[in-house]
This record gives sequence, structure tokens and C-alpha cells, in this order.
Amino acid sequence: MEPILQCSHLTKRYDKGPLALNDLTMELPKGEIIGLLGPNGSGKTTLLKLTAGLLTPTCGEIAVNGMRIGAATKAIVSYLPERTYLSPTMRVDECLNLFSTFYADFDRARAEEMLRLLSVPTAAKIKTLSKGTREKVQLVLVMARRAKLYLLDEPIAGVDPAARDYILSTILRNYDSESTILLSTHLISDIENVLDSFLFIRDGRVICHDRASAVREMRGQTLDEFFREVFRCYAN
Amino acid sequence: MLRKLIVQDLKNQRRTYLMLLLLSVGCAIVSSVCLVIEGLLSSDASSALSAMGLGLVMGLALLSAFLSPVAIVFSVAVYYYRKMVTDEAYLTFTLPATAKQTLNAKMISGSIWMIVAAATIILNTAIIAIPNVLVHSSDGYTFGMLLKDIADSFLLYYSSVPTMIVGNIAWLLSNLATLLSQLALIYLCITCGGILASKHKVLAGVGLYFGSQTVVGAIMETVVLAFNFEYLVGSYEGATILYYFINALLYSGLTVACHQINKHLLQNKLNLA
Repeated sequence: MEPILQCSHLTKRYDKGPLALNDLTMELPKGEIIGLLGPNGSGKTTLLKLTAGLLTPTCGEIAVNGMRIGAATKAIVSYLPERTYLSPTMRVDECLNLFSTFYADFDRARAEEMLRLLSVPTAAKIKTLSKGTREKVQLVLVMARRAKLYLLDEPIAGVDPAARDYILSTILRNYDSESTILLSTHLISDIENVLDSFLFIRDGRVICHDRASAVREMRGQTLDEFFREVFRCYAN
Repeated sequence: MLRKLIVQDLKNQRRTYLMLLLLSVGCAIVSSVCLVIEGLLSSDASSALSAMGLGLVMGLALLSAFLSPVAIVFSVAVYYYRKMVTDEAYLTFTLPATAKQTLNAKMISGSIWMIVAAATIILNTAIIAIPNVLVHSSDGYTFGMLLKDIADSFLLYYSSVPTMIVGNIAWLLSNLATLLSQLALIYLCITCGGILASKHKVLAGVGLYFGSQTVVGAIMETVVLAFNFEYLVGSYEGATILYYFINALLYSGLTVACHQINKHLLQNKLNLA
């Protein structure tokens, strides 16, 4: 089966700074929930942004579903950034209209149902919502799409534990088994039970790519423990 | 997709801009009424206070009538900056559209608003001027006579009606091309500031705009002055028409160049931090 994401010698340097991604090569299969795990500055967000088409690589290649990054890949990729990207002056229903207009795979009924469960008034302006509610609205918009690849950048950072549970349950409830979710986070213990596989990334390179169950079975460790062990070695 | 992007951009901006346009036309009407009242009052009837009050209202209304369309031009630039450089750009560039479509939509929607703003200034001028000309002119002077006088004034510069029509078309094209070139240049400078500057993106964009304006203005004037139009064409009116057409051509070229460079930067250098 063709992988959903292929990176070949992918390199990204910002201005004249250090390499954010350094000759990264990997393939991600379809139909899995994959954790993109690594310390701060390891290149997680850069990889997600390159896949979403928000950055251009310095060199190397990246393809989604066998296609170069462009309008066609953006139609099948649903991206949740770590910041609010909705216009503060837009109303929630205007955001729904926007997504309905531009994304053929947007399930408006599902989005409205999720917002109803969150008690978010659709006539409310984004700027009147709390930070947590704004993030939930963004998550609803992203997960209401029937995309082939979901890119979630730190979806549970900066929110309370109850909200984290809600976000993770929303992700699982709306997840299509034929789609792939690539989820980056520091909070490994919160998400490891939902992961099929994981990528450890450090200094712009993939240092480990395996199934989450393999860590538990072969090493008798949780993913969180394994992460601490691997990156403690690097820290030393 | 381009049509959807254009409609979305127009929808996003219409609330604010329509309000500004209505405000500006309203202020032009107030200003015109104040001028008419001031003209109709006899010197015995008008006191210093009422004249001052009237003058103040008229001044404010006059300013608003012309500043509101200018505010629209400024807002068009700010809208482009928000949608292409700030966090909102994450949404813009994850829509299933190419950079070319996104930029074309911004250019088309921005041009529409700039042309509407320019037309509003002309309309406001007419709203203020026409009633006052009629009030202050001799008895029996009608609106039809005013229109005829305006038409005759154009013929002072042209030898015939067809030449006058061609001349005015040339003038219109020249100003339209200048307007669109300014928009394309503003967009390009904002993109350059956003992509090439790691800090102070707004300042970088503003600085680039004023710098490039100076250079572009000097080049355009040099090129235009290099042509001795009257010698080439043999008449003043012919020279005027030729000047306008060449101006239109040069500024159209500038518009296309800025647009193409902008498209190249967005396609190949996009780096949303």
C-alpha cells in the first residue's frame, strides 16, 4: 500500500540558523495514529508545517499520498496548528461556512453536533471565546473533515486535564480507520494508549520509528518511560 | 476555486468598507448642505457663532468624506497583511488553493475596493460641488446647463468630441493603471517584509514601499520625460493623449511585474514561522 506521507532527505533551514530538519527520510503508512515525539526544537512543528504546505523545504522531497505538496494535498490534509488561526472578528457559524465552502470533505452536520455538545453558540465571535474554547472550536473544524491525513500540532498542550480528555476522545470518536493521524505532543503519558506507532525525532532527524506495542512487549516499558530513557541519553 | 476565494475576500471586507463608504457619502451630503445653508444665509442673519458652528460641521464632514475612502485603501493593505503574514495566514495557506489563486483573489478583491473608493471620492466631489454651484449661480441656472458647461470645459482641451472621448479614456486608463500598480506594489512589499524579514515585518514592508515608490516614481518620470510627445505627435492634445497611454502602459507593466515577483515569492519562499 502506498504510504500516506513520504519524506526523502528532507532538510529545512530557517534563515542562516541551524538545521530544523536534517536529511530526514521516512514513510508513514495509512490508517494509523502516529505520535510525533521529541524535545523542544527537535523539528516536530517544522515537519508538520512542511507537510501542510506552510513552509518550503531547503532541499529534499516530501509527498502526501504520492503527490507533491500543493492544492491537491491540501484538499486531503487537515492541519491543526498550535496557535489560533481563525480571524477574531469571525463568528463560529462564519467559520463553519468557510470550511463548508472550501473543503469538499467537511462534514458540517458533525461539526455542528460537536459544537452543540460543547455548548458553543454559533453566533459568538471567536474573540469572545476563552482560549480553551477557541482551541476546541479549531479542533472541531479540523476533525469534522473526512481527511486522509490529520496533522495535529500539540493539540492538548496548554489546556486543563478535563479538556485534554475531551480532545483525545473527540479525536478517537471522529477518527476514520482509513485515515492517518500524525500527532505531536510532549504529554506522552496522556496519549500513548491511543497511539499505534511513534516517531522519536531529535535535531531534525528520526532516531526511532516503531509500533507503540513493541515498546511495551519487548521492553516492558511505557512509551513515556522509553522516551525519557532515550532522550536522557542524548541530554547527557 | 478562484471565484470562491474572491467571494470570501469580498465578504470578509464588505461590512467595514460599506460602512466607511456610506459614512463618507453621508458626510459629503452634510457638508454640501452646510455649504448651501451658509451660502443662503444673509450677512445680517448669520452670527459669528452660527458661522463657526456651521464651519466646524462642514470641515469635519468634508474631511470624513475624503478620508473614509482613503481609510479603505489603508484597510485593504492591512487585510492583506493579516491574511498573508500573521497567524491567519495558517488558514489562508492551508486552503486547497495555489499561491497564484490566493494572490489573484487578493489582487482582484483589493482592486474592486480601491476602484470603489476612488469612485466615491469623485461622487463626493460632485455631491459637494453641484448643489453649491447651482445655489450660488445666477437665477434660472439649471442642472442641465451645468452639465453642458462641464462638457464644454472638456472641449477646451480637445479639438473635437471623438478626440475628447479618446483623451478621457486614456486619462481613465492611466489613473486605473497607476492605482492597480500601487496595490500590487503594496502587496509585494508586505510579502517581502513578511518573508524576508525575520523581525519587524511591518516596518520592513513600509520601508520597502516608500523606498520602492521613490525609485519607481523617478524611473517612470524619466522614461516619460524622455519622450518629447509634442514633437512626435505634432499637437498638444495628441501629446496629452499619448502621454496618458504610455503612462498606462508603464504602470500596467509595473503591476504585472510586482504581481509576478510576489507570486514567485509565495510559491517558492513561503516560510510561515
